[in-house]
Amino acid sequence: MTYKILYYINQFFAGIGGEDKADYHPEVRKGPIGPAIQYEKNTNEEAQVVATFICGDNYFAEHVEEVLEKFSAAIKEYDPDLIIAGPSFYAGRYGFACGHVIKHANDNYNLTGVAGMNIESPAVEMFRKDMFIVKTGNSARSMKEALEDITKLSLKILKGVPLGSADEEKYYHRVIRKNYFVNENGGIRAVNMLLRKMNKEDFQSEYIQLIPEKVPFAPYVKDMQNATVVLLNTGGIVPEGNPDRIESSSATKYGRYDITGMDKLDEKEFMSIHGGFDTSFANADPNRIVPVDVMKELEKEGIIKKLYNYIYSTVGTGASLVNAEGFGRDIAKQLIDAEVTAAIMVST
Amino acid sequence: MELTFRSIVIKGLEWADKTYVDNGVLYVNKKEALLACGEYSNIDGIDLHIARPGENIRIVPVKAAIEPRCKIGDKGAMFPGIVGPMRQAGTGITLALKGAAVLVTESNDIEAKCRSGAILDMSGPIAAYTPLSQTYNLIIDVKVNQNVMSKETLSTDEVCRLAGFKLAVYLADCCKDDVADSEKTYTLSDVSEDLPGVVYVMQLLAQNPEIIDFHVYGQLAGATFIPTYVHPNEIYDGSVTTFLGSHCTVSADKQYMYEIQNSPVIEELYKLHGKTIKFLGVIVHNEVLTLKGKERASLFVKNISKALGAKGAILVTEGHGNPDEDIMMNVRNLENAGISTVIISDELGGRDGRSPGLADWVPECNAMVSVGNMHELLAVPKKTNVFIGNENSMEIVKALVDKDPAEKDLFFIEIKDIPLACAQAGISNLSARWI
Repeated sequence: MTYKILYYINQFFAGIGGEDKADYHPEVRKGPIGPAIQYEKNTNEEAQVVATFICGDNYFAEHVEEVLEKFSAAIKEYDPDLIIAGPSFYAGRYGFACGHVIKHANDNYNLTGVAGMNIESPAVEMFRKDMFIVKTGNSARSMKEALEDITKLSLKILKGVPLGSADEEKYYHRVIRKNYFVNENGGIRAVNMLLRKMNKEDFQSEYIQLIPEKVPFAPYVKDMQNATVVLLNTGGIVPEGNPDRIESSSATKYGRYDITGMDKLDEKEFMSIHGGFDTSFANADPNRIVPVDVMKELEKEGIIKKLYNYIYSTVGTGASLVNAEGFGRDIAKQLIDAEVTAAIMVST
Repeated sequence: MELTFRSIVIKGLEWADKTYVDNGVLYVNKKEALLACGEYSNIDGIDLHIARPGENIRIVPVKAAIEPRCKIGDKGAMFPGIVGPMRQAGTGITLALKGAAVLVTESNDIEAKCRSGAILDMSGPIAAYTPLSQTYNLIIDVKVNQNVMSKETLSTDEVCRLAGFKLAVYLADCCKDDVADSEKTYTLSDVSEDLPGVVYVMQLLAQNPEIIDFHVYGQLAGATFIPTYVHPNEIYDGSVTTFLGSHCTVSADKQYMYEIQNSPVIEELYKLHGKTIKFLGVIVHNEVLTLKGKERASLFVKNISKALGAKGAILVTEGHGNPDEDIMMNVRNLENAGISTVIISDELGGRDGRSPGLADWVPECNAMVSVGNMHELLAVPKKTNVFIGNENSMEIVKALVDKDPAEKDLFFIEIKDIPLACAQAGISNLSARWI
């Protein structure tokens, strides 16, 4: 079968003109134009460029919504199997346009797209999570190679051939880690890596992480007598039966539980579902993780104004950072909206 | 210290009237083997099962995996202070039954008080992730006493732990008179001082004074333990033992005893000793919960490494989350002392692979071997022909996912629950890469 491609290029690669024609209005032409011609040749008739969508770079930047609507119309008219945009190399506005049309096609029509950009293009960081962006040189001098790499990757995607790593397929990784099996076990790989490192030879770490965000300590609460205090915990204290089915480890959610009218957490009504410690003490007295009993006494004594009538719980062990940060931001927002002024975070 | 290491390769496992090996097949007298596990008053009993590679069998939870080993002659000790006498291990003659393992599971734990998952299938998708699907397994099934279990879990854990080591020694002991398939000698011989010295830093969980994590010469090495030096031969003879106690949800990245006994890093460093490196030995580090404790442990790891004259270190870890802090602290301290480091770690990348893999990172860490993202989902069969262990533990293993797999008879787990799937001492072949 011949796959149908809708191809996006700017006014320059369409041969219309340079900066002076950057406000060129969007236009759809049947068949391949500019780099799309070479792309189609590369595919050896396995794919056909059914139409080329052309737009001036400035026009796009100033009329994003309008151009994307026209791009939608082209998708409906030509019913492509895949979108290709560029390659845009180092260009800023052109890269931005390429990223937008592919993301639009993906979000609204579940269509995959392939772009081609240089690492210096700001659009790489903007769009890499959402699409395949093939690595290219920084100018049109590397057009031939770029189109060859785009062809290879796009045909694999169209045919459903399993893809290798981002490095093997020559695109900027989409910030996704994927497991795979290797020939040598981890121990042998580690020893080989150490030998190279000690010998000052090149070695490739299998993972490097950005330094995680450090959260500064919040200023202390100056006026405790007027404070509304909330109790938060990662010790997995939930109502008996775990109604939200929070996981014992690698939690994907948190819970918010009403404690209105309670002087303490009753051991018959609350339990810990944490999977990283011996929960028998927490189950015997859940107040030892979420100290509602002590806080209620402080409330009566007037040392704090009020204990907030909800507690928040999740399980810390094995949680992914993205999930944990998400919980934190969510909960913080709810607490600010509820005018809670202080929080006690019990971690286990 | 010199250790003669003999191996018999096991290619079959059968019940018989007598325990012996013939033509690679391990025959086991069930009654004798049960006696070898020991007698305990706080459990309802012990049963034994066989699980061979490729069989349609599921075992949950896998609390221990041990390669059968014993000493031959009167020198040395196997599992010193636990099964063997309290004397120098790593010397004399050791016999190992390669390709066999003793597994420990438990049943009758109605409320799943142990809260351990650790799911092993001998065939199918799970089997591909763990070396324990490739071994001929004799499984100790501890029938727990519900009354005891409702009060505390430690005494039942202690039974599971002891029974496993005892049976492992018994099996090898019964094969002592048989001809070994191979023999090797391990010794850290004197080599050129010009070769760079390398240490192996073994970080092990020590998360709670009362949870049974790891032992050194039979002594529980909890929060009060100070990192120490052991000879690699002592590792081969089980002077450092681990166990997956109750309330421990770590299994993919747990250093099961089987992995420690078969440490690929120690094996490789031995191979290179005298050729490209000088293997200096093993430093055991306890991953405690307090910041001060971590700082103290890391200080000792650095000091011992320097005293040994190390130029390089391979660091392996156990668990995830707060142990990431231990490994980063060790990397920073060692690199700043002029010692090159490589770490082996898994990643906690989230089910979509988009989360940062470790809880912390330091700029000094530039060499990591990744043993995979333990959050990745795997569709596995709901049922197997045979189930050994505690059906109630399955609730811990089931991943809560919005949609089920396309096939009706499958469900999702995270690979974190497969023993040794993300093996942080490096025995498995999984890794992760960017896509």
